[in-house]
Amino acid sequence: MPNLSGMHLVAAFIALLLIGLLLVPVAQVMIVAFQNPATGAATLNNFVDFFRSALFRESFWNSFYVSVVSVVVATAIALPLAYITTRFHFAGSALIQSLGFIPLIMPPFVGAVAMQLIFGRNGTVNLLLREHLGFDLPFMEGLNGVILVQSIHYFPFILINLSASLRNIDRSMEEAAQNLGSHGMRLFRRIVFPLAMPGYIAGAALVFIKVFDDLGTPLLLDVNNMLAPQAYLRISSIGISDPMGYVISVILVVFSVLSLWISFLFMRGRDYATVQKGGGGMARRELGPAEKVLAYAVVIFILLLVLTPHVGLMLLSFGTIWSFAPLPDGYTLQNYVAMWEGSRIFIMNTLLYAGIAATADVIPGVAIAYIVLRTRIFGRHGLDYLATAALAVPGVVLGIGYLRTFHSLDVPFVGKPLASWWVVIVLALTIRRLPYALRACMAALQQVSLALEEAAESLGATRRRTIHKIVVPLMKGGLLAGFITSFATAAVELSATIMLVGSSRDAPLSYGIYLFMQTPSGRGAGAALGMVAVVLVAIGTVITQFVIERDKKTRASGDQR
Amino acid sequence: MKLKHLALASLAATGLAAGTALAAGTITVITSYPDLMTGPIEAAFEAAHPEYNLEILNKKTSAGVKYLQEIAGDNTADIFWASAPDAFEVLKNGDLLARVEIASEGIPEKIGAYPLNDPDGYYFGFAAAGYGIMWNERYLKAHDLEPAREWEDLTRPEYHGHVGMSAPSRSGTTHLTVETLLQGDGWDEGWAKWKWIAGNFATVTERSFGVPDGVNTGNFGLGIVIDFFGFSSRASGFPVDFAYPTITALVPANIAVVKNAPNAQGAVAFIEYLLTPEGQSVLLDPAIMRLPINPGTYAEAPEGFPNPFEDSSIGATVKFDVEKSGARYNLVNSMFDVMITYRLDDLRAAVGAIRGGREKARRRRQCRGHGAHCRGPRPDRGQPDRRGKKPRSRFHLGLHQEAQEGHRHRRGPPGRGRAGMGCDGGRKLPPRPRTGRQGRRHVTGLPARTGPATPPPSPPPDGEGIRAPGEGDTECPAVIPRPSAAAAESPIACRVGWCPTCRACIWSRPSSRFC
Amino acid sequence: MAQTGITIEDLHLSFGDTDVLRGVDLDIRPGEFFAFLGPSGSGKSTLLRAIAGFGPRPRGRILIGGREVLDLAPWARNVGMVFQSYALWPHMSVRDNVAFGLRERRVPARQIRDRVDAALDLVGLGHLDERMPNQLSGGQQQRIALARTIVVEPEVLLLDEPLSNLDASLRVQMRRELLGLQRKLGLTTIFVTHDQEEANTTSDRMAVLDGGVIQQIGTPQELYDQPANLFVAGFLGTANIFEGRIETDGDGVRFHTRTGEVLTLPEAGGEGANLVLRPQNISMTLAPREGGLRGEVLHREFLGSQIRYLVRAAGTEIVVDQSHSAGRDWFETGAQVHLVVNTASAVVL
Repeated sequence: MPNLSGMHLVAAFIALLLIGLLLVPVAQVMIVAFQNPATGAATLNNFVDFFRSALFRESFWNSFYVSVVSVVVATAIALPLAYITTRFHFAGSALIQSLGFIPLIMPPFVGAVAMQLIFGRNGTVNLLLREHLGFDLPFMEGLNGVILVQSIHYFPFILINLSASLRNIDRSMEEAAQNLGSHGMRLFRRIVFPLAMPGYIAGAALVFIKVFDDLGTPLLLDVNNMLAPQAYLRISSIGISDPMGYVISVILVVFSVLSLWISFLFMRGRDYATVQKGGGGMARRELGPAEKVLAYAVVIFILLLVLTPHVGLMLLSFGTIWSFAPLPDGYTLQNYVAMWEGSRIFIMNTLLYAGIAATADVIPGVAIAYIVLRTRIFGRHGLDYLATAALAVPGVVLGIGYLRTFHSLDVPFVGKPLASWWVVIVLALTIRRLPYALRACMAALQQVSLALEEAAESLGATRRRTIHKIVVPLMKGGLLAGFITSFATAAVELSATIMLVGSSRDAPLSYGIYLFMQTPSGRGAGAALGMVAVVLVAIGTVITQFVIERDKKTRASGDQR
Repeated sequence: MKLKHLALASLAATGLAAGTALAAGTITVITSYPDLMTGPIEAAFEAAHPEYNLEILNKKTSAGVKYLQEIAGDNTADIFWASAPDAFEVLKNGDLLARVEIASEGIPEKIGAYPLNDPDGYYFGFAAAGYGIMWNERYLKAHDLEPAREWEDLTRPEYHGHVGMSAPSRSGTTHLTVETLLQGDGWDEGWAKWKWIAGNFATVTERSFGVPDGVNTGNFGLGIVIDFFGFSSRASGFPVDFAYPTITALVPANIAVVKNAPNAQGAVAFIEYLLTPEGQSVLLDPAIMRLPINPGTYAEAPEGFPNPFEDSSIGATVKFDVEKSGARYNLVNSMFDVMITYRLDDLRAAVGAIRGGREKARRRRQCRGHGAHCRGPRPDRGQPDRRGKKPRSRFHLGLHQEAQEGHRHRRGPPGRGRAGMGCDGGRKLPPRPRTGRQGRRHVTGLPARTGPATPPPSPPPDGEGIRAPGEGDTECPAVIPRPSAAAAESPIACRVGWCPTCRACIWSRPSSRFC
Repeated sequence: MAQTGITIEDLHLSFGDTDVLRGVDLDIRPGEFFAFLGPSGSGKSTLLRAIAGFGPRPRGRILIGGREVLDLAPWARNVGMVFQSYALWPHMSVRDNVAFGLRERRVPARQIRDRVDAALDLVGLGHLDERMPNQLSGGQQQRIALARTIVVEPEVLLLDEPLSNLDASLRVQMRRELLGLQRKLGLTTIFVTHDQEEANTTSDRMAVLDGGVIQQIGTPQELYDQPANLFVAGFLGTANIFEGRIETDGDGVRFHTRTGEVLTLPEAGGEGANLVLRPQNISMTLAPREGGLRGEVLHREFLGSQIRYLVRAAGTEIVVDQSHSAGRDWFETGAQVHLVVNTASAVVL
C-alpha cells in the first residue's frame, strides 16, 4: 500500500508523544517502588511488604469491592435510561441523555459535599426520615458513601457507551427475534443486551477502573482504607523515603491495565458492526399509556437521584446558612456576587484548557483508533494500550512526574520551565483524557463497516482521502461524544492540576472551587462557581445532543422505504 | 475561533505577567492559606504598596514544602507563608529559607510561652493560633449533649460517634494539635488520651478544613480544630462555637523569605507590612479571625474575641517544644495514621466493647454485694439519655473509678485490648524512637505492629498474662474462641479468645484469667 | 401441513406525511409462491413488513388464514421472515441462532436438537452448526437465516429481497433451492424483489407495485403478455411503446403513428392511444414489406441467442430482437430497414 509509510510516521509520532508525556514521567515516579529506600538498590521487597500488611490487603479488597459494586449500581442507573431513550418514542430523550451526562461534569469533590448535605448522616433525607419515621439509612457511611457518589458520578460512561451501542444495533436483529416469537425482557436479555455488550463492557470497564483508581471521592468522604488514598497519603505525607505509596501506584496501574486487557479480550471477535451506517438503527416503539407512566416514573426517579448533587449544590449556592437542617436557613444571591468578583479568570482558563485538551485528544484518538483497527502496523496494540494506560495513572502521580520531568525543560520565548507554564496543565489534561476520546473513537470506528472504506478505496480514493472523506464523517457522532467527554471531564479535573497550577492566574475552575471551599464563608461562593461550571458544560452538552439528534434524524429520513 | 482568541489572550497575559514580574515587583507567595484569607491581606498590602503585586499560590502546607524542595534548583518563589512551625523547621533545615532582617514595632517576643520568631532569624510569626474544640449547637441540642471544653471531656462515652478530627499527616495544624497534647500530657498519657478520644470519632477527615466543614454542616457534632476555623465559622453565621481547653499551645503562624528569592526586597516589604498595626488589623476580618500578635490590635477586636495577652489562661500550660516536634514529625504522623486513621472502625468498636465490658464488670462487682439488684435496667451507654443529664456524670465517675482500679491492681498488661487503649500500655512501650528516621521502620513495616499501644504479637512470657486472683475475683469459666479472621487482625485480637463473662481478652491459659 | 392464505383489504400506511401504501387489496392463496415486484420505494418491503407486523400500524385489514392480525404483535403472528441482511445474531453460534425461535416457544431441549438438525440438513449445512455467523459465506448465512425461520414452522414465509446480497451464479442456484424448499414444505411464501427475472422464475403469481399501489396481479406470463398499464409493460421485460391514435372503421382497427404510418390491428384493444410491442414480436427486412414501418438501424448488440437492434422508426426509438443462428446475416448500423409487426401480440394501452 502506497500510503502506509505516512501512517507509520503518524504512529511513530504519537508513540513518541505518549512516551514523553506519559511513560517517562510516570516511570520517574514508579521506579521508586523498585528501589530499596535506604540504598537505592533494585529490590522487590517492597511488594512483599505490601502483601504482608493487613491494612494493604484490606485496602486492596475494599477498592475491589467498591469498584465492582459501583459498576453494578451504575449499571442499574444507566441501563433503564439508555434503554428507554433509545428504544421508545419518548418525549425528551435528548434532554434525558443530556441530563444523564451532567453528573460526569461535576467536580467529584463538589458532588461529595452536596451528597453529604442531602444523603449524609445528618443530611436532608436522614433528618427527615428520623423525624417522621424514626430511623435513618447509612447512605454515606464508609464504603457506602464512596459507592453511591462514584456510581452517580461515573454512570454516564455506561450510559453513553450503552446508548451508542443500542442505537447502532440493526433494526432487523431485533425484528428477527420478534418474528421468531421473542419479546419483552427475554428479547432484551437474549438479543438486545448481548448485542450492546461491546458498548456496555467499554463503559463498565471505564467505570471499574476510574473507581478503582479514584482518589478524590474516597478522600473527601474520609475513607482511607482503599488503595488510591493509601498511595496518595503515603506519597504526599511521607515522601520518597517510604516506597509503599509508589508500590501501590504500581499495583493500581498493573491492576487497571489488567482489567482493560480483560475487557479487550472479551470484545475481541465481537465486532458487531451490524449497522450499515445510514441503515436502520434500532426500531423505536410507541409506549402504551401504562408503560408511559411507568417509564416516566423510572426516569424521573433516576434523574432525581443522579441530580441530587446538583440540587444540593444549587441549594447551597443560593442558601445562607445550612447547618443540621433539611434545607438552608434562608436564600440569597450574595454567593453569586462574591463568586463573580473573583472567578472570571478561572472560568476563562477552564474553557481554554479543556477546549485545547479535548481537541488535542480527539485527533490522536482518531489516529490511534484507525491505526489499531485498520492497519497492520507493528506495535499498534502497544499504542492503544499505552494511550489507555493513562487511565490507570492516578492524577497525582502524573502531576508529580510532570514536576520532576519538566522542571528543567525551559520553554523558548516564555522564559520559564515547562513545569510552571500553564501549557503543562493542558498537557496533563490531554494525557489524562486521551483514553476517553480514544475509546469513543474506537467505538465509532468499529461501527463503521469496513466495506464502506473499501468502496472508497476501490473508487480510487487514497487512504488519506478515504479517512478524510469517509471514515471521519461517519465517525462524527462518536468523535463528538469523545470530544464532549474529554472536555467536560477535563473541565472539572482537579487531581493532576492541583499539583501543576503554578499561579492562581493560571488556575482552572475546579481549583477555584477548591480554594473557595476551604473556608467557612466561601462555601456558598464555591457552590455558586460550581453551578457556573455545571451550567456551562451542560449548555454545551445539550447543544451537542441536539446536533447529534438532528444528524440522526436527517439520516433516518433518508432511510425510509 | 473563540478558543484561538482565548489562547492568544492567555498567551499575551502570560507574557505580560512574565514581563511585569521584573518591572513592578511581583512577589510570589506560596501559602497554605485560602483565598478568603489572603484576599483581604493582598488587597490591603497592594493598596499600601502599589509598587508591588502579590502573586498567591495556594498549596497545602506539606505540598508547599514539597513544591519548594522540587523547585529549589531554580527557585521562583519569594515567600512561604503557613501556620505549622514544623514546616518552617523542615525548610530551614533543608536550607531553603533566607535569613533576613525585619523591622517592626510593638511586637512582643513571646506569645504565651512561645517565642514568636525563629531565634536564628529565618522565619517570623505574624499571627497566633491555638487549638481547641468546636461544636455545632443545633447538633448538640438535637442529641442532648453538652459542649466538651477539655480534651478529657472528649473521651466520655456520650460523645461516641460525634467527634471529628483531621489526620496530622494531612494537615499541619492538626499535627500541632496532636503534638500539643503529647507535649502537654506526656508521650504515653498523650497517646492514651488520643486513642480514647479517637474511639469517639465519627470520622477522620482528609483535609483540616473537613473538620469545621463537618461541624458547620452538622455532619458530626464536635470537632478538634484550630481556633480561627471556629471564629470564622461563627462569624460566617453558622450555629457553632469554640473553646480553648486548658492544655493548648498558642503557636505563631509564620512567614519566611525563600532562599534565592527573585524578589527578596518585596518579600521583606510584605512581611514588614504584615506586622504593622494596619496589617495586623486585617487579621480581624470576619473571614480570617486569627489572633493578632500586636497587643494593641485587640482594641479593635469584636466582643468575645479572646485576647491571649490579657487572658493568661490561654496556652499558658504548655510550653511547646518546636524542636522536639520537628524531630518526631513523621513519626507522630505515621503513628496517628496506623493506630487511628486506618484502624478507626476497629478502634471505635474496641472502645465501645471495652466500655461495655467495664460497665458490666463494674455492675457485677456491685452485684456481689447487692444480689438481686443487678437485674435492674441498665443505662444505655452509647446513647445520650434524653430525659436528664444525670447519667453523664455517673458514667464519668464510673469510668475513672475503673481506670484507677486497673492501675492499682494490674501488674502486667492483661490483654492487647486494654493495653491498646493505653490504660497501662505505656509500660510495654519500646524505647521511644529518637528521630523520625528511626521511626520510618514502623511505617514501612507492618502498621498493625507499630506504635506504643499495640504490643508485639508474640505471646507474653509465661505468667505475664496471669495475675493473682484479687478479692472477689472469679475465674473465667470458659473461652469464646476467636470468632473470625477479621477479629484476629483488630487491635484487640486475642490469641486464645474472650471470656464470656467479662469479655476480657485471654492471652494464654484460660484458667489464668480472672474477671 | 395446513396451508394458509393471506388476504389484504384496503391497506393504507404512511410515514408521517408520506403515503407509502395507498389502498392495497390482495389475495394470496394457500401454498402459493407469491412475489412482490417493484422498483425501490414502491412500498413492497413496507407491505411485507406490515404483514410481519413491523413498522407503523397500517389502516385496513390483513388476514392470515382468516385471522385478523393487524392488532397482533409481531411475535404473535407466527409468520416467518427472512431479512435482506439475514440478521443472524453475531453473538450466537449457528445452532443457537436456529434454535432461538424454538427456545422462545419452550420446546423441550431434545426436540430442539432434532429439529435444528433437521432444519440445518434441509439447507445442507448440518456440518456448520458450531460456527459463528461471521465465519460463514453469504450463501451460507442466507441458508442459516432460512433454516432459522422455517424451523419454527411458520404459517407463512416472508422473504425480503433474500437473494440481493448474493453473487449472480449463487443467486440462480439459491432461488431454485428456495423454490424447491417451498414446494417441499408447501409454505405460503411471499418474496419481495426488484428483479423481474427472480420473480418470473420462482413465483406462481406476482403483484407489481408502484407508488404504494398494486398495478397488476397475475401469473408472470399474464403480466408479461397482458400488462395492465404502461408501467407494468415497461417494468417487465422490454417494451416498445408507439404513441399515436386508434381509429375504428368498417375495415377494422387501425393505429396511426405520430409520423402518419398506419398499422392494422386484428381487434379493438383498450381505449388507450399507445401500442405496446415486445422486441421479439417485430421482424426486420431490408426489402420493403406491405404494412411495414420504415426505420434506420442505430445500434446493434450481440446477445448470443439473439441480436438486439436499436431502430429509429415511427418517430421513436424501438428495440428489435432477431434470433440468431450461425451464418445468418446481420443488419449493419445505418441500414435502412423495414419492420413487420406481429400485431396479434400487440397490446393497446
